[in-house]
Amino acid sequence: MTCDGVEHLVDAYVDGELDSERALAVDAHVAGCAACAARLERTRALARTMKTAPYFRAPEALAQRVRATTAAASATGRPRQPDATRRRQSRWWLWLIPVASAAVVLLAVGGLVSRRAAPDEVTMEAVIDGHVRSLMAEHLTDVISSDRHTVKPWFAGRIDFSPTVADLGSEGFPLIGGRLDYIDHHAAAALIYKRRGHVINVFVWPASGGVPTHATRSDGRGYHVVYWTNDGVAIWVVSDLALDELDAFAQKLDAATSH
Amino acid sequence: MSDESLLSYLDAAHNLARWLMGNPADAEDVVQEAYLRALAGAQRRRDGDERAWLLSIVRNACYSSHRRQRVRRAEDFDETRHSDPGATPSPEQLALEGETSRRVQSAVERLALEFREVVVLREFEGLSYKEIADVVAVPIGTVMSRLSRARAQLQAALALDGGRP
Repeated sequence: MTCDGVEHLVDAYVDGELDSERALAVDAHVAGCAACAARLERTRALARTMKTAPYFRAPEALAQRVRATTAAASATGRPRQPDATRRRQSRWWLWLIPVASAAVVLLAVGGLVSRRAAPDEVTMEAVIDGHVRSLMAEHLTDVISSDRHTVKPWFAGRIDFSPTVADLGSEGFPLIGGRLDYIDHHAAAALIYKRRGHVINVFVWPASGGVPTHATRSDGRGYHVVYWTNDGVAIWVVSDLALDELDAFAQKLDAATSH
Repeated sequence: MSDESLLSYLDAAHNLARWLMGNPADAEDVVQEAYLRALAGAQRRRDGDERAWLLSIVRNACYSSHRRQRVRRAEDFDETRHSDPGATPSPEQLALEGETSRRVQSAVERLALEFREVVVLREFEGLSYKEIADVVAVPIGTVMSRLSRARAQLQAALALDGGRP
């Protein structure tokens, strides 16, 4: 092995990540090379020094807070999104503790009846919130690409379903990228398209039944939603684009993703 | 998977978030958010290392938070760097290693995020290269090169190379 080889492998050697053949080769070279022996010693010295760094254990208050909110999320089935606009040092989450307690008590009492609005109504609000959040929080895309062969694999390992990503650039709806999002209590793939200056969010998650096939809705804030199910997948399209244009986009998307 | 098994990684989650966020308040908020995300995905998570899976969610939550807070962080980064009530080393460690510990912390905090995360996962959490690759979502070769470059920067910052350039 050469000095360059040792330089390349010294970190992996110290970390115990080398197979025995290459580790022995490093040993053999270092035994006869003062420069590489010094290099190895410096790397080991750094590893020892790093062990003096502080380890930030979770404070007990955080453990209680996480317990409380995960209990609340389990009880209601709807994890809360932390408020992105809160101020530093704020303790907005404190109110979640009584909420969690109340939720647990309600469950314990039993006979808890769902007070949610119709599922599609709730989901529509969540989808619009997700759309607005994506525009406000500088978090439109996790992966920026107009290439569906880049966007689709990006989701692998992040979610356990594979969203069909269509290229509608030739139809005037260029793909911008993708994002991981949480809509209602679903992990959702968000695909972002544009039409002129308008952003279109397409939220995709495995359908769990009860979602009507192809419906179009508007809310009072100027957002339009088109949603349908296709082959066990719920697809929700949301934008401030004019409703007829959004519906045209939805039909092209449905056509491009149906086989 | 139970919530309790996820909670057993709370220290690791908090440690990673604290290093990546740079201050206690943001770290706690990010851990909170990550656990909610983890819970939402818990039924459908991929098979494999649960700790690496959770840490990848924490890591992604940190990046999301950084994106949201980019402007604000630029304003008060210096203020947060030097206020640190989170670490709790033993009195003996403080006496023997206090100065070194502070210098190491400062050097790690000055690393770019992409270098800092591989250092934290390797040196403080003891993850294998494969696990780090999973958490950071890059190939193992990228983990190795980032770790190598990060260590070169740390050695320079800590002057462990005997003062040579």
